[in-house]
Amino acid sequence: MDTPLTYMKKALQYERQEIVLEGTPIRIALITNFTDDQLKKILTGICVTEGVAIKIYTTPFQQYAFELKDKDSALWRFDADATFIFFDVNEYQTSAFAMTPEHFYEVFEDIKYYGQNTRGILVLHTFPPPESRQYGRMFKGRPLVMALRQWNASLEAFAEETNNVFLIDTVRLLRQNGGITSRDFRGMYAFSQPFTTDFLLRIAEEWYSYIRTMSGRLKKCLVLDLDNTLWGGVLGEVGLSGIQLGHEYPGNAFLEFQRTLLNFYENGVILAINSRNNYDDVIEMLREHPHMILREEHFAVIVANWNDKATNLRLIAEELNIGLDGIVFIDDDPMNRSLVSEQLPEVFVPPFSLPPEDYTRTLLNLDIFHGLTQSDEDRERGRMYAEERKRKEFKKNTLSLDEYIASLNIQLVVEMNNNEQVTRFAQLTQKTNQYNLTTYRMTVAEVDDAIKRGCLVYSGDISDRFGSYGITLLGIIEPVSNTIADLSVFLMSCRVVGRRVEDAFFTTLVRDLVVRGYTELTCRFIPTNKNMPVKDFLRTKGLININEYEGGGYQGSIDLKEYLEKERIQESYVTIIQKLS
Amino acid sequence: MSKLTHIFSSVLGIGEESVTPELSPDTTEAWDSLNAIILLTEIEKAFNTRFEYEEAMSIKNFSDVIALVAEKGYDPYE
Repeated sequence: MDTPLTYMKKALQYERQEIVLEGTPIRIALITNFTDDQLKKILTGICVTEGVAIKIYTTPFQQYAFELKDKDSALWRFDADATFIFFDVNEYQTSAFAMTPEHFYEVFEDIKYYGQNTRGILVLHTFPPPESRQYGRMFKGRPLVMALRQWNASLEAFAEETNNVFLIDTVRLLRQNGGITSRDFRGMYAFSQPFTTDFLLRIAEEWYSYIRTMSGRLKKCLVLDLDNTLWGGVLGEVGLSGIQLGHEYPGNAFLEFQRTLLNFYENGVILAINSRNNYDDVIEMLREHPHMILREEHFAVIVANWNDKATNLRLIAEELNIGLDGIVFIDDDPMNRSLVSEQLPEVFVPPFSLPPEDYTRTLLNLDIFHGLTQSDEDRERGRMYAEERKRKEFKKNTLSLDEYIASLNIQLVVEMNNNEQVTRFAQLTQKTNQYNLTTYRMTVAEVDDAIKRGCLVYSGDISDRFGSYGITLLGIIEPVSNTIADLSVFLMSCRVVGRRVEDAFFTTLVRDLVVRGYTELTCRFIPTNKNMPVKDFLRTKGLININEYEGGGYQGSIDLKEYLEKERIQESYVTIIQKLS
Repeated sequence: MSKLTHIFSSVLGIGEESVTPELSPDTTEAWDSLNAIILLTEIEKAFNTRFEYEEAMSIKNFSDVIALVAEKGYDPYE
């Protein structure tokens, strides 16, 4: 982790355009009641270091109340993707919040108004209680102490009932940083900068974890070493009975680490094994050891051989159909780690040369799997990838791919404008990189708005005889006229790749559009570093009037009736159930 | 590179060779009031010391900083 100083330097280079980043900048608004230039610089530095292009707006000093209220203000016009609000109540200096409890409620009404109307997300901070012990004794029952508690309850209720509003526990940040080293008293009285740069760094890192989610930089998979990572000792040397795993130290620390990993799995993180061991020994350990918490069924890929770990990681990424940049590799052996870091710089390799008692805390503090909203799909993901492993084992025994696909009994359920799944839809736009024609990232509010505006939001839910994959296909149609429609979003989660369901889904969309009287579909391919797998998708659909652009992008249109005639649907491989109103 | 040179070069976004005794807010656009505060706190952190407000406000160029650090009993070229 870099220091505030190096981040400030990066920020300066970014401002002077000595560092230029690709992509549409994420628009971030900061609202505070202190001088926040340093905070802005540190946040900029973090984003730039991580390669995320951003544009930050800060409300002028002490103008927050006016800016929040006024729909014509610079804040509202900035149209942020994410807005962060941090108010320092501060019992040492008379802030408007500390002076008049009513001030909070005035501002809170404005915050609610803003939060309910912003297109992006809104992140709020809770108010920490006053530090001085006098508040518990001499000042006992003072309005401020009770007021803070009520304010926090109000914020919590608001965040709970509003999809795009999130809450950061400021007490936790203070505790992690050390409360004493968080305030800068001279800075507070002399320059209206009440916090040390170390604490500002904590805040900025916390905010960045939201920004990272929006930029699609999410880790999806934990690849784990076994010996001295999941258990103590070397399986090949001491055998199953000699492994340290149980209720005595250090076995209990490994046990706790496994429990945490299971928790990650249950929340949708994919687990895989990359170990130098005999495969059969590993399977025996996973099946037979009485204290193992993680079992065979929790792992999407199990690689145990004597190849180098970088080669194995490539194999795992391929098997799972995820990018290397979605992988975190955990290994206690520094040689393996440096080998992987050198050969596969995209893989995140945290330094794990630690005593086992530090494993759990270190893993939790990495904070790299944080998603904005947790849908049921998220929680299911780990299980679904593990089922996919079984499916692939089955695949090895079948003859042709056509026969295989036909034997899967794939079922595709297509729905339109399902308001209950907007969280999942937004998430698909944020997370899907490979099978994504336009890579438009959308927030929950934007999906909501698209439905309200009259767009047709089609979603596809896939299942086959091995299990259910959930909503993995999304198509969003913007009506252009009575006969022309525009395909603004078309994507498929890589979870269902290889089943040709994208074709069946596309055809279902076209059929429905024809029923609605449309004759032409305009569409485009916008290239990114990752969506090459779909670069020819539209061309195979009878695209005409093609305009090509520099960089490989193109747009054109599809004559819908002609498409249906030519297609003559060879969809016998998939059962389509339409729930289109 | 000395600690002081590193801090000035990082905060002001200039090359180390540009951190000369004559360096001042008048000649360096980036040395504005905000960066002056950052410089102050970073120098204090690096030498684990504290300047009086008056001392800090009297800094007119880089050689003043060297003198001030020396006055506090630290090696400004450390």
